[in-house]
Amino acid sequence: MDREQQRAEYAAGLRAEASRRFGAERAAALGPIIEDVAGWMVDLATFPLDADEPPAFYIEPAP
Amino acid sequence: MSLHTFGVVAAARAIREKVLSPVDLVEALLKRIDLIDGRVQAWALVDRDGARAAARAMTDEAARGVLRGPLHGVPFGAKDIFYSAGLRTEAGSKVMAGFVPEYDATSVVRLKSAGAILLGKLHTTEFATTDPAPTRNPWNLACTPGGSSSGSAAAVAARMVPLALGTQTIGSNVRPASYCGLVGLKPTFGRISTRGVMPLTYTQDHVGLMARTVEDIALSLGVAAGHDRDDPSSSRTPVPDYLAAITHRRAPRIGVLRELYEVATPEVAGITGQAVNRLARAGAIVEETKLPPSYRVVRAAAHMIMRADTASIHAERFALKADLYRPGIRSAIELGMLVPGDLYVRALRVRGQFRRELLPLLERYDALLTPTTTTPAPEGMATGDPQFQAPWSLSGLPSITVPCGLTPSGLPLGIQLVSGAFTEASLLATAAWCEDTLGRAAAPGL
Repeated sequence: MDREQQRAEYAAGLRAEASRRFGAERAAALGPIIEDVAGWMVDLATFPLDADEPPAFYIEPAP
Repeated sequence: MSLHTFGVVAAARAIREKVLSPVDLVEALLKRIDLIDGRVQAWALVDRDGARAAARAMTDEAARGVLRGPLHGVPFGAKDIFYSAGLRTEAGSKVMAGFVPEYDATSVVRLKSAGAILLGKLHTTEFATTDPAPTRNPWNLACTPGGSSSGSAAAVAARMVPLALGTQTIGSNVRPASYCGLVGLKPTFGRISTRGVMPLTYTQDHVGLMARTVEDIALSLGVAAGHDRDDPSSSRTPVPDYLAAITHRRAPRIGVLRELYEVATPEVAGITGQAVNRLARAGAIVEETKLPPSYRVVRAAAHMIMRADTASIHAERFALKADLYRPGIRSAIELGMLVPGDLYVRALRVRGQFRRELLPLLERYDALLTPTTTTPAPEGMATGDPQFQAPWSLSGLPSITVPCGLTPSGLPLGIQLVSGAFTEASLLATAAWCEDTLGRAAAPGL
């Protein structure tokens, strides 16, 4: 699946879920932001993360 | 010297030497606020009675040679998301109308304990997100001061207060400081407690400082920093003497992130380039370097974490008062509710990888350098582009902006310096050296 197709799928999913949870009027208002968020979702989903990279929360210096 | 122009270190010294009284200083600043805040609109609330009472006490004590700490008698302002006991704290939101906290944020407590006087609360965008504050940029009232710490930046720039507390989750402290010609520090995540600061995220909120010189920031950071057992993200890393650290100034080794110049306007890239040339001529070792591959998803990760966390933090209030939220934050919360869990965790993993990939760069240089902002302060109400701050907010690494010049239209620009976790002492020393070389921003012509 190419990037644009994946972005469109994420956007469609977000629009449907927004409509279900917040109603059609709010889903329409969220339209431009949904496009941004769908782009970020593709960025994150496709970036080649290191397989053993754990989630990082707080920060402390090396011991 | 007009009293309202005193900076933090100069005021503290003058009070200590009994040539300036906190009462006179507070009265001068209140007069300044009366004179210009109708145009700048930096203050959400000015605590005249509280500041005057504190100033009288500080003046009496100073006369007896009793000093509470290194900020004895120095006024400061706090962004209106910092809890302040007995003072309205409304976060720029109808949702919080009339809210009066029963305690001070830890950072406010620490400044007050060192003798600082809380002058009042400073306007913020709603809940420190995007819906703008009424505040205008003192350099040009048609322009934004940036956000979300809008009032903090404008008040310090307009000489209404020498020091302000701001916050940064994406770009909200360093960017407005730069738009207003200030020095602004976002320290390492966990360096200053966030207890009592209305949260946006659990792992990206930072308390920041704004003042007019690096020295003022160094003194203030030494007071504000330190472990807080009531903040689970607060670090136990010892707090060095930052003011002593900046006396050890030497020409630094700087890694210039040239790729960010290409995102900035030609005007910003040109003025930043001139500043870098001046640093090199003064002896800095300047090399061009590149950000690691994970940089390209840093912005996505930072925004995904913020939206999901904000949705969680506001869930109960939002369920009851959704219609009271302004459009920007309302949309952010609603979208945050839809962020898939697997991608949220990937965003947290990007943070770890980005930090790890940055380490070789951070070890090679005293600081990385970028333009602080993509443009000068934009006209209108929108608060500008935070993309040059997002990597350091996501990674939790310290960053500071230092003024580097004015555009032909008279708006300030800054350079942003970044270093490793908990290396604020050397970062401040580098910033002070750059400040010596580039000069300090003049005052806006209000």
